[in-house]
Amino acid sequence: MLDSGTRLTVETGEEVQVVDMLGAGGQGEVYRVKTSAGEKALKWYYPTCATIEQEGIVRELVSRDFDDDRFLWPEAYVPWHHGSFGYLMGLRPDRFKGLPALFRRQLRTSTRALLTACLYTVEAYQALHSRGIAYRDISWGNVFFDPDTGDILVCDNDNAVVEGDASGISGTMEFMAPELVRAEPGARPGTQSDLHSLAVLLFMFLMNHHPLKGRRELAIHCLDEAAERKLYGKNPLFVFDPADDSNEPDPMEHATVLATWDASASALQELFRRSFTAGLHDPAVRVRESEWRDALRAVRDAVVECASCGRQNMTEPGEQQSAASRPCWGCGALLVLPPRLTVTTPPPRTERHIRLPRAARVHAHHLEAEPARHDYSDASLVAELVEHPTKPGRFGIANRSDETWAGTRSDGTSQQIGPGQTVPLRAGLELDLGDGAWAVVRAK
Amino acid sequence: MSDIPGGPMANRPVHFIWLLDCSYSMQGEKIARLNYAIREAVPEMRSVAHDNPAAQLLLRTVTFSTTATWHHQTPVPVDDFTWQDVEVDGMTNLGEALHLVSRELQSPPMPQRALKPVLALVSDGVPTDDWKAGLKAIDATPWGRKAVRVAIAIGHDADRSVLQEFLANPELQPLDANSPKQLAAAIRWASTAAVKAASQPVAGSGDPLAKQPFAPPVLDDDDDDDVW
Repeated sequence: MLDSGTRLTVETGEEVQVVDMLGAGGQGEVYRVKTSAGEKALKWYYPTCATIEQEGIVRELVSRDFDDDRFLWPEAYVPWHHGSFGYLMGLRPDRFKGLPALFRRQLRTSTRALLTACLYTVEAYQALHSRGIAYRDISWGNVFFDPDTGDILVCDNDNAVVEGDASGISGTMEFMAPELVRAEPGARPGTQSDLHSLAVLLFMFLMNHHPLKGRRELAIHCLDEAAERKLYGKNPLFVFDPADDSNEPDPMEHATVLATWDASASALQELFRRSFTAGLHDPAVRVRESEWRDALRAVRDAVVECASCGRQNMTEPGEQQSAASRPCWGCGALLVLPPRLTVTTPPPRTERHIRLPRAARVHAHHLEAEPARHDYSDASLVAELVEHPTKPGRFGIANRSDETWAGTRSDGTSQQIGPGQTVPLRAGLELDLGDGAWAVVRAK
Repeated sequence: MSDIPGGPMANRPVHFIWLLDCSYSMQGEKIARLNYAIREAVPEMRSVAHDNPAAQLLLRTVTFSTTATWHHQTPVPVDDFTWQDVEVDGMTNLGEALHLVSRELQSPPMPQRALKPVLALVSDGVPTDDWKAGLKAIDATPWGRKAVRVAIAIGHDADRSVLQEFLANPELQPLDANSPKQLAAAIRWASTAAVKAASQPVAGSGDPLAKQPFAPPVLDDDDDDDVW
């Protein structure tokens, strides 16, 4: 629609120039543009989507000045030009990849990175919902993630509206809450229906499959609107519904979801079960972001590498691990659980159980009862498991914080561990991490 | 073996069939523009297909003139698809082309499970054979009835009523392509929006394509001597 070289004037008065097209979506096209502040992305609506209502939403979103690095938020409104309008936003850095590449298994990532991405996604939507903004268009098309770190970026935020506002988008059917697919009177897209979409997105992230596509979907020849309405609206049934196996996965056609489900921790399976049984029919019992957050961070802290093949495996978080260890999903060898660090936060006291495989890391959020946000980057590192430089096989916990820790061994003797120092890993070792947080090393 | 459990996501095929008018009236610039427009649209099609891992886009082409023939016989995955220029021949035997396509819309050769097929008809003239019988044959197949249909009218001589009847939905309109730029936009839209409509239904009333934003370029600088 816009030719390279086209000049447009932003509402702020600044002139921008179209460089090239980056992609097209359901409502418009996205172009790379030159601005005085460097290159930006310009979303330009198709004339049929360039409505007064949409203009209002964009202007409202721009005025919110939502400064959050997890979102590519509309930054400036670009007024009408030849029958349409648009807005400027940041360019998506290359390290963020689309979920389709993950779903096709065309990129390398890890279980830890996926769990981190899920946790960050949950927190991103929570940040919106806590401000009273409903996203209304959660789907694989607008979340991007860094396969190495799990960092996420939510794009296409121009359907997010204040809860209760009207918005034109009804959503991609496979992510829509059943009551919306059925177009029930009074059912409107909002934060409660976002919770269903979020559960679907998390299931697809971790299980690489749609939670409602089982044997029933196989019986459908042509998967069209009518079929989708039935699968996702009129007659939705979870593929792992404990009370009704009539939509269970087919061992041949659905080998992927059987494998991914089998490799998941039961803490997550339980939340998915609730989302896609009771939660399908009663929006009030849908799993809330805080529940996803707690389960995802606990499971992430319990990921261990298989001693035989090195692949990352989920294990049951905390003390729930049964004596009978589970086999590695990759090679089948029984997993050997490394020691566990139990961190107790300052009041309100909460325990975090962190498995200590090689290079295990403790971050600032582990030491907080209610962290505003989880951050697994180097910037938030507090402690990490390191190997002795000259004595292979001997491990210790390195202090990467600014605090001096007080350590107490199981025999009652104590020692100080300053920043940069390492204390040998021993069962029963207690660490006072400062600011009311402490930790204990446990053998299992 | 992968670093994470599970293989690729299960998918269903989307059979996309171009039906291209290659009668004499298309000779010269028109056919060259059509070849160019489709060639240009292939990367866009790939990008749309990549965006939907639950769909596998397969392409084929039928050309019709004095006879109707498969330009690409077997369905080709979009990643392997390369466009070979079509050439003009004689009459406008659309009916024969529709018959040819209708045979492919039976099960088999259609698989047991698929997404809606897409039929994209491009024509500049008036059919010279019994096209209604061909359309009936398409409508008689279950996949034909389900198919997403798009139609592009090249130039002012195209019989829009035939294209309208092919679309079989009063909410939908054939797309006008009266300039190279409009043709490129129409082909691009047909090859992307239709694939989206087939592969990722959106809830709402009516045909999603009717609400799909087809937007020919606003700056139609090819007709810049037209003043009105």
